[in-house]
Amino acid sequence: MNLSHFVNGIKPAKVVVADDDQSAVDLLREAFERSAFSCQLEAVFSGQQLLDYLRKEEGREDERPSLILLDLNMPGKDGRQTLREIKADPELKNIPIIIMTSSELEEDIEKSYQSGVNAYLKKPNLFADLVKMAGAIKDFWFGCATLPQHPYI
Amino acid sequence: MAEKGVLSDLRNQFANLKLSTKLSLSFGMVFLAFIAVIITASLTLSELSLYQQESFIRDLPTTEGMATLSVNMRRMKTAVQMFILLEDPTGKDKAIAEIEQVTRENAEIISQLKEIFQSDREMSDLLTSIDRRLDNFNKRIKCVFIPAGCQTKDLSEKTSALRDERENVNQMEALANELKELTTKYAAGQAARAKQQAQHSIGVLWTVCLVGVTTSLALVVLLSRMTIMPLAHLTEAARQLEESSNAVTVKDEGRTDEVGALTRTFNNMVRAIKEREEERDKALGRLEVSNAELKQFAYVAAHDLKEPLRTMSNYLSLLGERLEGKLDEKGERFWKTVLNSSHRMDALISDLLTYAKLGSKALAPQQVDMNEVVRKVIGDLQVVVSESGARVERHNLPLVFADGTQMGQLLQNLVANGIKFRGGNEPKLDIGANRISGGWMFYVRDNGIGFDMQFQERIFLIFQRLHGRDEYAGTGLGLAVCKRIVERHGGKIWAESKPGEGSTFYFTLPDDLQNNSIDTNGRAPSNDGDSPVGPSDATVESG
Repeated sequence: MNLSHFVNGIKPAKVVVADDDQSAVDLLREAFERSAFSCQLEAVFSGQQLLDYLRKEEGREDERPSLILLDLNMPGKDGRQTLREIKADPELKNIPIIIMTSSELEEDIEKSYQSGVNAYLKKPNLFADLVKMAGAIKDFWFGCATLPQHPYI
Repeated sequence: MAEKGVLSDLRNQFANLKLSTKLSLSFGMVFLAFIAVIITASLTLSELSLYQQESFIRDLPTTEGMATLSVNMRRMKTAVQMFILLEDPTGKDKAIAEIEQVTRENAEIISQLKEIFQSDREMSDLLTSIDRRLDNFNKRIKCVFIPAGCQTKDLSEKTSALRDERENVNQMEALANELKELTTKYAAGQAARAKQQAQHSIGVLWTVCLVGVTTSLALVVLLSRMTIMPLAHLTEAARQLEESSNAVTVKDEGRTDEVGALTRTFNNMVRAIKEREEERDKALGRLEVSNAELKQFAYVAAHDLKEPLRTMSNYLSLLGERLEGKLDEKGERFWKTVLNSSHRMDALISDLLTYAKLGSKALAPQQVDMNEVVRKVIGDLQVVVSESGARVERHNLPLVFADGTQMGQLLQNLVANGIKFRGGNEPKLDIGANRISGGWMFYVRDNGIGFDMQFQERIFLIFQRLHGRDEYAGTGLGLAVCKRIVERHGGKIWAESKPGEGSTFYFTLPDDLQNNSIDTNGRAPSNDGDSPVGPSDATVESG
């Protein structure tokens, strides 16, 4: 149906999700599967783990994730701090980031967009909504990013 | 009347003067009185001395005596001449009698004068010499006139002797004149002494006056230093205490009088205030911390409750897919109950979050057109309004200075309630506002089921419901949210109702938004003109 991951190359897109809640990661994986988003979904469980993961891949640009899904409320180094550090790192600051959180604080929303995130999404209550959200991420994000290539294939 | 007015004016003015001025004025008045008394006294004294001088001269017994003495001398001279000139014996007898009388009188006067001038040596000497001459004269006269007492027989001899005597009498007259002059001189001396004495007295008086004035001045200065200066210090310290929490104590300089007692009492008060302020600040600090924690707690608790609930409901839907068709009728019902409960819990937590956010978020006040707010609310509730067939009548509403979003929440809850708790008839809502002193009173009237007035307090409490969930949906937070919004704006909310006869919800919004956490910029709604708003310009929003 959607050709994006074929177009991008043989390797499927790599998405990193940073969330301390294992069940949330599982739900997301399920939702991605349902929306036929066959990506390589890596999970880390804290801000520090995410930074470590990103820096481990440093230098090999093709190894870097195409998208980061970041939760704000995590124990230890939380999403806000992690976001600041990623955006302060010249090697990492261009990786697209989507905030996926349960926080509805206007302050969080404002500050996230000021930091340069690409989207701020509130975690849905219903699984059906989560599936829709996964579809939207796939269609909108990867669709848009790869759209100009279609006519030339 | 006018005088009375002037007097009371003066008294008022005096009462308003500074204490030091009052003291100086009082002392000044006393000085003036003092000086007036002294001037009067000295004037009286000098007048008195003048009078004394005059009377001294006038009343002196010697003056008359002197005059008589010199007259007598002349009389004697005349008598002697008569005696010499007259040859007839009766004339001679008369002359002798005259001489004898004058001699007697003179002796009398001289003895009197001697008594008076006992202390005056010059006068006494003079008088003694006059007396001696008179005595000699008398003796010789007797020799001449009384043949028995003397051997002289010849008339010519007598005559020459008499001529000598006349010479003697002349000398006596001269002496008497000298005496008179001396007396006058003496009197003048006495008067001068009296005058001097009077002047001396006046001088003493003035000295006393000057000393008194100087002492009083010194006393005023000392008194004001002792009483008014410490009072000024106290006032300054009290002013500092009023202006800032930086309380200052005043030195009491070890005084034991009233001022010292006042100073010590003041210092004790300052210390007590300081202690109390510190205690209060501590308590306030603790309160602020616990209040902030509580606000934070409500929000965080609600927020953290949502996380597992979300996971639960997500997995429930996943599970539901797998159980599709595998459950019997009872199982289906249990499953529905679980799902409904999780949805209800989600609604509860969402409302709780809204409620908690109202407490922790600062207001964003601005000019809000309440007509606009109601229009938007009705637009948002369009589905409910048209489904229920509600008629919402909106009278002209004022501009207010308030948080627009919260005004929307408030009216949305009230309108939604009015529609939700409808009776059998189609709902009819009436929204309006009346001008009250210092603000506006809004009302939302419905024709719904109403409630018993014994519950009028309870309905505004959090999670309080009057009806079962099966009858009317909702979390029981709507009116609690309304109450919190109105109270944060410094207003009041209440309701009047009767079961089955609809209810009216009232809330007030003050012109000056009194909330310590808000910057009101002193702006207030400029709508005093159009009050109260009548029902004539009502608008029906929807039917």
